[in-house]
Amino acid sequence: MPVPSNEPIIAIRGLSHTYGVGTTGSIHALDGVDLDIFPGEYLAILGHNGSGKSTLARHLNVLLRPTAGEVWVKGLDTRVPENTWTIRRSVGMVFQVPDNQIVASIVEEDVAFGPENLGVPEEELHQRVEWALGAVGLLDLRQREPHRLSAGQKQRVALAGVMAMKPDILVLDEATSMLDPEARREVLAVVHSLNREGLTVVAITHLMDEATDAGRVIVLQAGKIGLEGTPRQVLTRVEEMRKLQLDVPQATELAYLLHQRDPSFPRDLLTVHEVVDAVRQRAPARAFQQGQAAE
Amino acid sequence: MSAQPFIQVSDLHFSYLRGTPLEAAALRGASMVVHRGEAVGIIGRAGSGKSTLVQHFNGLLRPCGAGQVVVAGQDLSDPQADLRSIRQQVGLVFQVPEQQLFERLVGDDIAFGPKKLGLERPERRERVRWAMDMVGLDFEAFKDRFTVSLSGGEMRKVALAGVLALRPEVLILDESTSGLDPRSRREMLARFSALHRDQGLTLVFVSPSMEEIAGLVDRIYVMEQGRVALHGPTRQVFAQAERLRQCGLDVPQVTAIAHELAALRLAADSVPLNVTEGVEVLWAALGH
Repeated sequence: MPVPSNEPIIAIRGLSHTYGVGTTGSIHALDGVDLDIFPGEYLAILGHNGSGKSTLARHLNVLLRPTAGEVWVKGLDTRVPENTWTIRRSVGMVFQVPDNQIVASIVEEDVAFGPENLGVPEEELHQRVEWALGAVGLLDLRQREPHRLSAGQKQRVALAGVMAMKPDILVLDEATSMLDPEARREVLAVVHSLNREGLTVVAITHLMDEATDAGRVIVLQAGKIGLEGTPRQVLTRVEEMRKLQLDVPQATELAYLLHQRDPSFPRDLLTVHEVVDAVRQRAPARAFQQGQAAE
Repeated sequence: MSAQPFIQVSDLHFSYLRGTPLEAAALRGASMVVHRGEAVGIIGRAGSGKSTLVQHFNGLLRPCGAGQVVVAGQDLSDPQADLRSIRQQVGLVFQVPEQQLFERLVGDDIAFGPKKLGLERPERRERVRWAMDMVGLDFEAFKDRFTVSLSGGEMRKVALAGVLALRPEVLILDESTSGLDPRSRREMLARFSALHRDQGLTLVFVSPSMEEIAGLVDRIYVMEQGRVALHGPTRQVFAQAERLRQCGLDVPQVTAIAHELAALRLAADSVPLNVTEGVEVLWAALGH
């Protein structure tokens, strides 16, 4: 994984967003968020419905502009209208329901749609489509109709369409929340391999298995950053996560409960494998016969 | 539980675009039963036929050829079947339920079904109030909101309330809670569980979350390539971790941990389905 540099690729300063400014029904979705996102990092943004996480995502490619504060993407201010298209070219977004993002009736035409509109020359267009389809593992399905593909395949078509624009930053707005576990693994494996090649990834999610593999996690609560750190630092704060109305992985919750009974059991575990290992290291040497019933 | 199942599917086949070069078989001989008052789970990878199967339960899809679907004593392949009564008894909520909304105001959208049932205004209002309470939407705060102004999660709740307002005997949730945040999902599922437990609501639950389904249903059907690959009581199905992985599925993390410890001979064989059960298995493995 490339070492994140010290210069942020996205700088967010005092960002506030109010929907319906000046009306009685105005809603403060974001309230003074300060956040730096660094090149090549994998940032997961967690939060329950209404915490402001989707609003924050929409500021990253100028689908929204700040009502207060500022957002800078690769040194460009999102408040300046002339910057809009340059920024959108750098920041690709994949949403929850891929069907809304797919425009053509053949997979490879859909992937070509974005770069074609950018005026990418024929030769390079071909290379980009080839590369993007390869990156998401869809070369075999290039002639298929997108609407006849599985949900995971459709989401990979949407992802390929975004990648063909060669963005520097990929924003996933709950892009795997409608997928089954297998399709989710399929899409996330692609995203992680792109990240290892240097793509900056911002994943908006409420799924823990997405957050455990991120480089850094922030939790939004009522439009502010509530918790921040590595997945291990954040997700293992079981009580605080519950207060923020979020789940933690079952493996983490098990470790937390065992730690309460026996403080020598580590409480900062994230995965099935880590819990099995921790038990193995501490279990007394007595073999259970397979097939033996619980006492 | 009566002897005659409420829903009985026998050797059902179904193809989309039948008779065209694009014909795609979705069901290839699926059989299952749902008894009155049960909570049944249906799991399987994308494209395994789950949605096609449950869309037969309220006559949205009709058997067209091989196989039989009998719901509340009516054979749905019979053109004379009374679909109106079936749909009143069997409520189906889709994966993207916001596509089920069509009225301008939230209250009107939820009242649409009860109105079609010919209920009077005061009773309709009561139904709407009750249904909104069930999904966790405040009646006064939301009844006059525009449906288009709602968040994704709120739209989902309105669509669910619209189906609940029909007071169905069977509620089919086809991945209708994916995309809701953990708290909304937990609260809503707790309410459905209570309806199931206290008022005998029959639940058919299609979910991609093994953790969620493990805590909610008595029996599970596992779909694979248009057929039932595996079925049985929840614990018995989750005991077969390898078989589930072959079907593109997983077991809850607690179940996986217990399974691995048993394979290492560090714990007795057991199939914990939730964290409370799991912690006891691990505590015993640690020698306590």
